[in-house]
Amino acid sequence: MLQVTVNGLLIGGVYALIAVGLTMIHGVMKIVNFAQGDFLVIGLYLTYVFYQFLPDGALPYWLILPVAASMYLIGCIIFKLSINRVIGQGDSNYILLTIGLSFVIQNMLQLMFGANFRSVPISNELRFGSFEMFGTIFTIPRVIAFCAAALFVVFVNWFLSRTDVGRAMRATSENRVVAESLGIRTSRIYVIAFALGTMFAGVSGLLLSPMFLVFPTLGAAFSTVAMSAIVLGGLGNIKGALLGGIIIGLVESFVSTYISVTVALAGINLVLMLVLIFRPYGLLGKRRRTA
Amino acid sequence: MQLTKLAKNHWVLAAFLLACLIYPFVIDSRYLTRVAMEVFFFAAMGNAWNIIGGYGKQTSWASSTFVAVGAYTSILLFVRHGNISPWISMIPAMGLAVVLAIIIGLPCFRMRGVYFAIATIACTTIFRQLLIYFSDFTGGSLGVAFMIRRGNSLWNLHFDSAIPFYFIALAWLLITVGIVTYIERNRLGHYLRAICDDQDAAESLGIKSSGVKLTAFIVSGMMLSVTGVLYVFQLGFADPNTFASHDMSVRIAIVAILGGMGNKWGPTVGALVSVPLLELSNAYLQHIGGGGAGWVMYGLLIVIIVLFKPNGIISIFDNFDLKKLGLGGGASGRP
Repeated sequence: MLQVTVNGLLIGGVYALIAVGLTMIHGVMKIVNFAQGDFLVIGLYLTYVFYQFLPDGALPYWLILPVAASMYLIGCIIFKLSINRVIGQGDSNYILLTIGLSFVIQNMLQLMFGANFRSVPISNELRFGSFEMFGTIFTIPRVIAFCAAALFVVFVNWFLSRTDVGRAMRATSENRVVAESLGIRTSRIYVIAFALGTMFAGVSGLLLSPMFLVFPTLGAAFSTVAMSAIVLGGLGNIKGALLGGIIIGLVESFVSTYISVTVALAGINLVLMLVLIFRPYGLLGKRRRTA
Repeated sequence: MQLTKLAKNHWVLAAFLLACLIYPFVIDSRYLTRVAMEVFFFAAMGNAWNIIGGYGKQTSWASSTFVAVGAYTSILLFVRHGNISPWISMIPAMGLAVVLAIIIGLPCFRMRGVYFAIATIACTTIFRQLLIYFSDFTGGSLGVAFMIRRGNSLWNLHFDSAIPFYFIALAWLLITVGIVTYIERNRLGHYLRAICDDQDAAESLGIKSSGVKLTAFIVSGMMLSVTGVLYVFQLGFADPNTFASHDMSVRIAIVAILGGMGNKWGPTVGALVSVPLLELSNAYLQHIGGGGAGWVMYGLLIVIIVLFKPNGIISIFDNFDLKKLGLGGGASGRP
């Protein structure tokens, strides 16, 4: 029981990190990125490529800077080329655009790396390492991923409330026109927010590299989970994303232990539906008139 | 509204129908006939999606659930319960679609925008997982397949040649266009458009928006379910990945969105472009990246259409003078 809870919390932390990236994008430009999971997979492949330049047995976590920087750049490019044009044009446009992007990314990756499963050649000590505490087993990659995710969430909170760019971001999210009249260059804020969101996805990919095999269509599952997390918690709300991610991790862990792994995803979605039935705007979300 | 001008242009329609009628005999290729049939099926599903997604602007991603319900109901009744004809099993298939539409619709239509989209995705996921989980009944992730069938039988929907099915698909496509046209001209269509323009204003005028949406969703679900019945008898098997996947919902919606949402010819145009693109590029670019090249093109097509023609391919014809265009240009039956 305790073991199941711990497993759920640990994986939930990583889901929360992906969801925070998604929230960053949604909060500022009101776009839910359906390709977020695919950005995560790009991060995994980048880790895979960069890792070959490291000496044998090195920790993949040293790659955080190059992976984050490349993901930021990729985010900027994708934003400038496409996302830029659909901001504020209604839901179906961006949904479709990001779904199209997700097709392109998945299959570009398949063209470049093939459809085979690959794994980052990390030493087995890290991959299968674990320690025991309070009678439960903690696997090391998950603990590291969880701690890193927690650190990142704290960092984002600090960034949004204490830095100029973060404040400008919140202002833009609140009301673009007013923000612009106050001298904030909202178009730049958009780029930064999107690129940061992409970067978070990429970093989550890096953190997950010891736990998952890499293949081009891996992202779909993460997209769904991350979207469920932010909707569950309430859109545009960092705390909501955190809460949503952890709840989803817990539900997944409990359902796959006590019922069956095949219905874990169904369990997550069932919880999501139940929450939405009673709180149509998520757990921490506020009603906002959209019409 | 030049779109309706295009639709009302009987010459274009007649040319299209004529092209469709002679197509399988001129082409004389089983594969290309099947591609055209796929176009018709997807156009029909796009039409069904269009009712709720195009006219009602409720971007639903639950379509595959209804297709799967139709497919599984009919194939299970045929295989497990003594060859019940698909024409008969269409009735329980539609009935189940209605039930599911209510189960999915009641909670989902309380939400708007992206919440609605994600809720419908959640419903499809639950449905697919349940299909896989109850494997004794549904065959799990492997699905159900027909025993070997022989001979031609309209009653059991089995033919040795691809041509009869081609015409069944064509007929069903025309029926769905008819249903959409009927809805467009009647109260449901007007209500849907009012809700899609401004839901709050429509409600203040006394339109019960959730009821209207639910009705549209039920009609759309029944049409998808019937398409599922026909499609599974053509394909010969039903499995969760083909029928109940998120990709299937996406492909259905994209047919309508590419062509032009809220236009009765939009899905047909969208299917004419997107289905052959995917089929042919999968066939001819197979060796490049394990078929990835075809999907890259598909994805790029979506991105390009959204960025440059957000009202769909059919809006390209807005600026054309149809008389200048002549008869052959607008709608050729050749995918």
